[in-house]
Amino acid sequence: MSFDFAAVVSATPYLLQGLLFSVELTLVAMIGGMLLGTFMAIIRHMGVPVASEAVRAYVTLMRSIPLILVLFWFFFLVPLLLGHLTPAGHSIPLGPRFTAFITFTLFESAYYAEIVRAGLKAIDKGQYEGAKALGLSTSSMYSSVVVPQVLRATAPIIVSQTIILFQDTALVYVLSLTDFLGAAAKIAQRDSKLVEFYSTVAVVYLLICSIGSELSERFRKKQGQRSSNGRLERAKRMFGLARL
Amino acid sequence: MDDAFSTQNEILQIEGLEQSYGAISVLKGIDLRVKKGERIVICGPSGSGKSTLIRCINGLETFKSGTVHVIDVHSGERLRQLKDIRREVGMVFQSFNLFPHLSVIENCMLAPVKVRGVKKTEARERSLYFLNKVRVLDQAKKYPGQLSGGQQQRVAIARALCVQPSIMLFDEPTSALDPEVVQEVLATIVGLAKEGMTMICVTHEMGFARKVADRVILIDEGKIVEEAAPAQFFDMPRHERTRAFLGRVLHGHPETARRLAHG
Repeated sequence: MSFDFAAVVSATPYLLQGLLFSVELTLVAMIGGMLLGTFMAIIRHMGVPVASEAVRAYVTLMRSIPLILVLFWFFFLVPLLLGHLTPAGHSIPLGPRFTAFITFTLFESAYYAEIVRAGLKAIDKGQYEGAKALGLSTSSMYSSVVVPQVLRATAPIIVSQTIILFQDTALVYVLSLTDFLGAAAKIAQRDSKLVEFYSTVAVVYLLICSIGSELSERFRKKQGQRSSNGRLERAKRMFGLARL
Repeated sequence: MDDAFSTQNEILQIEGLEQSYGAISVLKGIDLRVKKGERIVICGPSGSGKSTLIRCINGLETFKSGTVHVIDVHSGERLRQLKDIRREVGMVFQSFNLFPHLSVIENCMLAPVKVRGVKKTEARERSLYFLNKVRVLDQAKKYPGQLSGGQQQRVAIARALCVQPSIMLFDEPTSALDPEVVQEVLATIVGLAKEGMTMICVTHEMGFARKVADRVILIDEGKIVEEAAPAQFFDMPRHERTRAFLGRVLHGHPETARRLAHG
C-alpha cells in the first residue's frame, strides 16, 4: 500500500481554508460562549430571582441535547418559528454560517457557565467578604476580585472544553459547511485517497489539541506560584483531576 | 428620642440588635454606643456572638431586629446606604482575605480607586504611605502568597486604611497567626489606636485589651454580660461569668495573668 503524500500537499490551500473556518468558529464560540457563560454563571451565583431559574433551565436543556440535534433544530426549526412571528408568514432562512456561529456559541455557553459557576462556588467566601467590606460594588467585586481568580483556577478545564469544542466543529458537516475535516473529506472522496487525507487530518487535530493542552499546563504552573494551596486543593477535589 | 448632648460625637449606635440562625438565637438584644476615638474590645467564649455582632455593623450579616446606625463624622448624619457604611467602616479579618491574584500594592490601590474614585497615582501614593506605616513597604511588589501571616495581616490593615474609614473593625485579627508574629500585628493596631482611630476589636488577647481599650465588653450567649474600663474589668469584675471567663482565658497563660495583674 502506498501513501501518496503529494496529493495532500497539493490540496493544502483548500485544507487551510477549511482549517481557518474551524479555528474561526472555535474562537467565536469560545469567546462568545465564555462571555455569555460567565454572565449566566454570575446570575445564578447571585441568585437573581427569575433570571437564575431561567439560566438553570437553559443550561440543563443545552447540556442534555446532543450538539448535532441543536444544530438541526436551529437550522430547520428556528426559521419556521421566525416566519410565524413575522406578518408575512414566510420562513426566514438563517444561513448555515450564521447558524453555526450562533448555535455553537449558545451551546458552549451552557458548558462554560457550569465551569465558571463551579469556580465561583470554589472561591473562598472570605474573598467575597473582603471585597464587600472594602465597599466594592457587586460588579467591581466580580470583575476585579472574583472572576480573575475563577479564570485562573479553571483555565485548564476551560481549555479542555475548548479543545472539545474545536473537535466538535467538525459537525458543521451536517450544515454542508466546509471546515477542516469537511475539506479533507471532499478531496479525499474526489481523489479516492481516503487514507492519506484522513490520517493527515487526524495528525493535525492531534497536534493542535496537544499544543493547546501543553500551553494550558504551562500557564497553570505559572499561576501555581501565586494562588494559595487551599484553592488548588479545592479545585483538585472539585474536578477530580489528579494531575491538577 | 436622641438627646443632642448625649449623642454628641457618637459614631455608632446599636440598639436591641437580635440575630438568629434558624432556631438558634445568636444575638439577644445588644445595645452599644461608640463615640469617635473610642477603642472597644469585645471578648467572650466561642459562639457567644461577638463576631456576628461586628459583622452586623458593616452588613456582612443581616439581622432579625434592632437597629445599627453608623454616623458620618463630617455631617453628623446617619449613613443610610450600605455602600456608604462600608466606605466608612473598615474591617480586618481573621483570615486576612487578601486578594491573591493582585500584588500587595494592587490590593491596597483597588478600593480607593473603585470606591473613593481616587486617581491611580494618588491611590498608589496613599497605598505606599499606609504600607510604610504598617512596616511592609519593602513587600509592595510581592504577592500575598509570598508573605508570612504577620505580614499579610499588616497588609490587610493597610488595605483597609487606604479607604480612610472612620471606624476600624477587627475580627480576631491575630487568632490565625503563629505566636511569634502576633505581637507585631498587635503593635500595629496599638499604633493605630494611639493616633485616635475609633476601633472595635474582637480578640482573645487580654494584654492588648488592657493596654488599648477604653471599654472592654464581655459577650456571652448573645448578651452583653459586662462592660467596663479595663482596670475594672480585669481587676474587679462585677459578674460571676466575667470572673469565670477570665479564669478560663488566663488559666493557660500565667505570664499574661501576671502581666495583667501588674498592668
